[in-house]
Amino acid sequence: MTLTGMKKHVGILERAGFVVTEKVGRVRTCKLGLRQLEEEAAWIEKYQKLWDARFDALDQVVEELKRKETFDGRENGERASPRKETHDGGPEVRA
Amino acid sequence: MESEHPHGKKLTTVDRKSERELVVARTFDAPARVVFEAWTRPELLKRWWAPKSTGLVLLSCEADVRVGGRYRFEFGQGTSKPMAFFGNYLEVTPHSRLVWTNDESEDGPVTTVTFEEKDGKTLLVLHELHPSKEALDAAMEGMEGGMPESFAQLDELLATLG
Repeated sequence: MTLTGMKKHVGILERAGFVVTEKVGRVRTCKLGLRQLEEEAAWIEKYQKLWDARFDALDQVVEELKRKETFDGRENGERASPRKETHDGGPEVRA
Repeated sequence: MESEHPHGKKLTTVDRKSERELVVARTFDAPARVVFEAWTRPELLKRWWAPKSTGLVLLSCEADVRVGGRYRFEFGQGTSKPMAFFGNYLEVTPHSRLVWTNDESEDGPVTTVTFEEKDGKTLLVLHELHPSKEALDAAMEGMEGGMPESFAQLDELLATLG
Protein backbone atom coordinates (compact mmCIF):
# COMPACT_ATOMS: atom_id res chain seq x y z
CA MET A 1 0.00 0.00 0.00
CA THR A 2 1.27 3.48 -0.86
CA LEU A 3 1.70 6.09 1.82
CA THR A 4 -1.09 8.14 0.25
CA GLY A 5 -3.35 5.08 0.27
CA MET A 6 -2.53 4.44 3.90
CA LYS A 7 -3.29 8.06 4.83
CA LYS A 8 -6.67 7.79 3.14
CA HIS A 9 -7.40 4.52 4.91
CA VAL A 10 -6.52 5.87 8.34
CA GLY A 11 -8.51 9.04 7.62
CA ILE A 12 -11.65 6.98 7.08
CA LEU A 13 -11.10 4.98 10.26
CA GLU A 14 -10.49 8.19 12.16
CA ARG A 15 -13.68 9.85 10.94
CA ALA A 16 -15.63 6.75 11.97
CA GLY A 17 -14.10 7.00 15.45
CA PHE A 18 -12.34 3.64 15.26
CA VAL A 19 -8.87 5.14 15.61
CA VAL A 20 -7.45 8.36 16.98
CA THR A 21 -4.23 9.77 15.60
CA GLU A 22 -1.71 12.21 16.90
CA LYS A 23 1.08 13.79 14.88
CA VAL A 24 4.33 14.71 16.60
CA GLY A 25 6.94 16.04 14.19
CA ARG A 26 7.01 13.67 11.21
CA VAL A 27 5.46 10.75 13.06
CA ARG A 28 1.74 10.15 13.22
CA THR A 29 0.72 7.69 15.94
CA CYS A 30 -2.56 5.77 15.67
CA LYS A 31 -4.41 4.06 18.44
CA LEU A 32 -7.74 2.37 18.63
CA GLY A 33 -10.61 4.77 19.27
CA LEU A 34 -12.55 2.36 21.47
CA ARG A 35 -12.67 4.82 24.32
CA GLN A 36 -14.86 7.09 22.27
CA LEU A 37 -17.22 4.25 21.43
CA GLU A 38 -17.43 3.26 25.08
CA GLU A 39 -18.19 6.83 26.09
CA GLU A 40 -20.91 7.00 23.51
CA ALA A 41 -22.44 3.77 24.79
CA ALA A 42 -22.33 5.09 28.36
CA TRP A 43 -23.99 8.33 27.31
CA ILE A 44 -26.71 6.48 25.44
CA GLU A 45 -27.36 4.37 28.52
CA LYS A 46 -27.82 7.50 30.63
CA TYR A 47 -30.06 9.09 28.06
CA GLN A 48 -32.09 5.87 27.96
CA LYS A 49 -32.56 6.04 31.74
CA LEU A 50 -33.72 9.65 31.57
CA TRP A 51 -36.31 8.86 28.91
CA ASP A 52 -37.32 5.65 30.63
CA ALA A 53 -38.04 7.56 33.87
CA ARG A 54 -39.89 10.19 31.89
CA PHE A 55 -41.92 7.64 29.98
CA ASP A 56 -42.81 5.76 33.19
CA ALA A 57 -44.27 9.02 34.48
CA LEU A 58 -45.98 9.63 31.14
CA ASP A 59 -47.44 6.14 31.36
CA GLN A 60 -49.08 7.07 34.66
CA VAL A 61 -50.62 10.21 33.16
CA VAL A 62 -51.80 8.20 30.14
CA GLU A 63 -53.38 5.52 32.36
CA GLU A 64 -55.16 8.22 34.34
CA LEU A 65 -56.49 9.83 31.14
CA LYS A 66 -57.68 6.42 29.94
CA ARG A 67 -59.54 5.76 33.19
CA LYS A 68 -61.09 9.20 33.09
CA GLU A 69 -62.10 8.69 29.47
CA THR A 70 -63.73 5.35 30.26
CA PHE A 71 -65.50 6.90 33.23
CA ASP A 72 -66.75 9.91 31.22
CA GLY A 73 -67.68 7.61 28.36
CA ARG A 74 -69.79 5.46 30.68
CA GLU A 75 -71.40 8.49 32.27
CA ASN A 76 -72.40 9.76 28.83
CA GLY A 77 -73.25 6.27 27.61
CA GLU A 78 -75.51 5.62 30.59
CA ARG A 79 -77.37 8.81 29.95
CA ALA A 80 -77.74 8.08 26.25
CA SER A 81 -78.65 4.39 26.52
CA PRO A 82 -79.50 3.07 29.98
CA ARG A 83 -79.47 -0.53 28.77
CA LYS A 84 -75.68 -0.49 28.38
CA GLU A 85 -73.25 -1.72 31.04
CA THR A 86 -75.80 -3.89 32.83
CA HIS A 87 -72.97 -6.22 33.84
CA ASP A 88 -71.12 -3.41 35.54
CA GLY A 89 -71.44 -2.47 39.18
CA GLY A 90 -70.80 1.18 38.46
CA PRO A 91 -67.80 3.47 38.52
CA GLU A 92 -67.04 2.99 42.23
CA VAL A 93 -65.92 -0.58 41.44
CA ARG A 94 -62.93 0.75 39.51
CA ALA A 95 -61.92 3.45 42.00
CA MET B 1 -36.34 -4.13 17.84
CA GLU B 2 -37.70 -5.52 21.07
CA SER B 3 -40.16 -3.14 22.70
CA GLU B 4 -42.06 -5.30 25.17
CA HIS B 5 -40.39 -6.77 28.22
CA PRO B 6 -41.38 -10.35 29.12
CA HIS B 7 -42.74 -9.14 32.46
CA GLY B 8 -44.94 -6.49 30.91
CA LYS B 9 -42.71 -3.50 31.64
CA LYS B 10 -42.41 -1.52 28.46
CA LEU B 11 -38.92 -0.81 27.22
CA THR B 12 -37.53 2.51 26.15
CA THR B 13 -34.94 2.15 23.40
CA VAL B 14 -32.34 4.74 22.42
CA ASP B 15 -30.32 4.39 19.23
CA ARG B 16 -27.85 6.59 17.45
CA LYS B 17 -29.36 5.94 14.07
CA SER B 18 -26.73 7.90 12.16
CA GLU B 19 -24.03 10.50 12.70
CA ARG B 20 -26.70 13.18 13.09
CA GLU B 21 -29.70 11.26 14.43
CA LEU B 22 -30.81 9.95 17.78
CA VAL B 23 -34.00 7.91 18.12
CA VAL B 24 -35.92 7.18 21.34
CA ALA B 25 -38.88 4.78 21.18
CA ARG B 26 -41.46 3.23 23.46
CA THR B 27 -44.93 1.69 23.19
CA PHE B 28 -47.85 2.91 25.31
CA ASP B 29 -50.94 0.90 26.07
CA ALA B 30 -53.36 3.61 24.97
CA PRO B 31 -54.76 5.12 21.78
CA ALA B 32 -52.62 7.78 20.05
CA ARG B 33 -55.15 10.48 20.90
CA VAL B 34 -54.59 9.91 24.64
CA VAL B 35 -50.78 9.90 24.39
CA PHE B 36 -50.88 12.97 22.16
CA GLU B 37 -53.05 14.76 24.72
CA ALA B 38 -50.47 14.09 27.45
CA TRP B 39 -47.78 15.71 25.24
CA THR B 40 -49.73 18.75 24.21
CA ARG B 41 -51.58 19.97 27.32
CA PRO B 42 -49.04 21.88 29.46
CA GLU B 43 -50.75 20.94 32.73
CA LEU B 44 -50.28 17.25 31.80
CA LEU B 45 -46.83 17.68 30.23
CA LYS B 46 -45.45 19.20 33.44
CA ARG B 47 -46.54 16.13 35.38
CA TRP B 48 -44.18 13.78 33.55
CA TRP B 49 -41.43 15.77 31.80
CA ALA B 50 -39.32 16.03 34.98
CA PRO B 51 -40.22 12.98 37.05
CA LYS B 52 -39.20 13.11 40.72
CA SER B 53 -36.79 10.20 40.30
CA THR B 54 -34.53 12.38 38.10
CA GLY B 55 -34.11 14.93 40.89
CA LEU B 56 -35.09 17.74 38.56
CA VAL B 57 -37.76 20.25 39.49
CA LEU B 58 -39.76 21.84 36.74
CA LEU B 59 -40.02 25.49 37.74
CA SER B 60 -42.17 26.51 34.83
CA CYS B 61 -43.61 24.89 31.77
CA GLU B 62 -45.24 26.88 29.03
CA ALA B 63 -46.25 25.27 25.77
CA ASP B 64 -48.38 26.90 23.11
CA VAL B 65 -48.79 23.78 21.00
CA ARG B 66 -49.69 25.05 17.54
CA VAL B 67 -47.61 25.76 14.44
CA GLY B 68 -45.34 28.72 15.28
CA GLY B 69 -46.27 28.53 18.97
CA ARG B 70 -43.46 28.64 21.51
CA TYR B 71 -42.53 26.49 24.46
CA ARG B 72 -40.29 27.14 27.41
CA PHE B 73 -39.36 24.73 30.21
CA GLU B 74 -37.31 25.88 33.19
CA PHE B 75 -35.62 23.38 35.45
CA GLY B 76 -34.04 23.98 38.79
CA GLN B 77 -32.20 21.86 41.27
CA GLY B 78 -31.03 22.96 44.69
CA THR B 79 -29.34 26.32 44.55
CA SER B 80 -27.95 26.03 41.04
CA LYS B 81 -29.08 28.47 38.41
CA PRO B 82 -32.22 27.37 36.58
CA MET B 83 -31.76 25.92 33.11
CA ALA B 84 -34.12 26.89 30.36
CA PHE B 85 -35.09 24.87 27.32
CA PHE B 86 -37.07 26.61 24.63
CA GLY B 87 -38.04 26.66 20.98
CA ASN B 88 -41.08 26.67 18.74
CA TYR B 89 -43.39 24.16 17.13
CA LEU B 90 -42.87 23.65 13.40
CA GLU B 91 -45.59 21.04 12.89
CA VAL B 92 -48.59 20.02 14.97
CA THR B 93 -50.69 17.25 13.46
CA PRO B 94 -53.27 16.09 16.01
CA HIS B 95 -52.74 12.57 17.31
CA SER B 96 -49.88 11.73 14.95
CA ARG B 97 -46.98 14.19 14.74
CA LEU B 98 -45.19 17.00 16.56
CA VAL B 99 -42.06 18.81 15.37
CA TRP B 100 -40.20 21.45 17.38
CA THR B 101 -36.92 23.32 17.44
CA ASN B 102 -34.48 23.36 20.37
CA ASP B 103 -33.19 26.91 20.47
CA GLU B 104 -31.28 26.94 23.78
CA SER B 105 -28.06 26.28 21.85
CA GLU B 106 -27.05 27.56 18.43
CA ASP B 107 -26.81 24.14 16.84
CA GLY B 108 -29.65 22.44 18.65
CA PRO B 109 -31.52 19.58 16.99
CA VAL B 110 -34.98 19.51 15.46
CA THR B 111 -37.15 17.05 17.37
CA THR B 112 -39.91 15.05 15.68
CA VAL B 113 -42.30 12.91 17.69
CA THR B 114 -44.62 10.50 15.92
CA PHE B 115 -47.56 8.65 17.48
CA GLU B 116 -48.39 5.47 15.60
CA GLU B 117 -51.49 3.61 16.76
CA LYS B 118 -51.92 -0.13 16.23
CA ASP B 119 -54.46 -2.37 17.97
CA GLY B 120 -55.20 0.28 20.57
CA LYS B 121 -51.52 0.74 21.46
CA THR B 122 -49.29 3.60 20.46
CA LEU B 123 -45.70 3.38 19.28
CA LEU B 124 -44.07 6.64 20.18
CA VAL B 125 -40.89 7.55 18.32
CA LEU B 126 -38.88 10.63 19.24
CA HIS B 127 -36.35 11.55 16.59
CA GLU B 128 -33.65 14.18 17.08
CA LEU B 129 -31.96 15.45 13.95
CA HIS B 130 -28.81 17.41 14.72
CA PRO B 131 -27.37 19.90 12.22
CA SER B 132 -24.05 18.01 12.04
CA LYS B 133 -22.17 15.03 13.43
CA GLU B 134 -20.12 17.48 15.50
CA ALA B 135 -23.27 18.96 17.04
CA LEU B 136 -24.54 15.55 18.19
CA ASP B 137 -21.06 14.56 19.41
CA ALA B 138 -20.87 17.81 21.38
CA ALA B 139 -24.34 17.26 22.86
CA MET B 140 -23.22 13.82 24.01
CA GLU B 141 -20.00 15.14 25.49
CA GLY B 142 -21.89 18.04 27.04
CA MET B 143 -23.94 15.81 29.26
CA GLU B 144 -20.72 14.21 30.43
CA GLY B 145 -18.57 17.19 31.29
CA GLY B 146 -19.47 20.67 30.19
CA MET B 147 -22.99 20.87 31.59
CA PRO B 148 -24.05 22.78 34.70
CA GLU B 149 -23.50 20.91 37.93
CA SER B 150 -27.15 20.07 38.18
CA PHE B 151 -26.64 17.65 35.33
CA ALA B 152 -23.78 15.98 37.15
CA GLN B 153 -26.23 15.42 39.99
CA LEU B 154 -28.73 14.15 37.50
CA ASP B 155 -26.14 11.61 36.42
CA GLU B 156 -25.80 10.35 39.97
CA LEU B 157 -29.53 10.13 40.41
CA LEU B 158 -29.95 8.38 37.11
CA ALA B 159 -27.35 5.85 38.19
CA THR B 160 -29.50 4.99 41.20
CA LEU B 161 -32.48 4.33 38.96
CA GLY B 162 -30.62 1.30 37.66
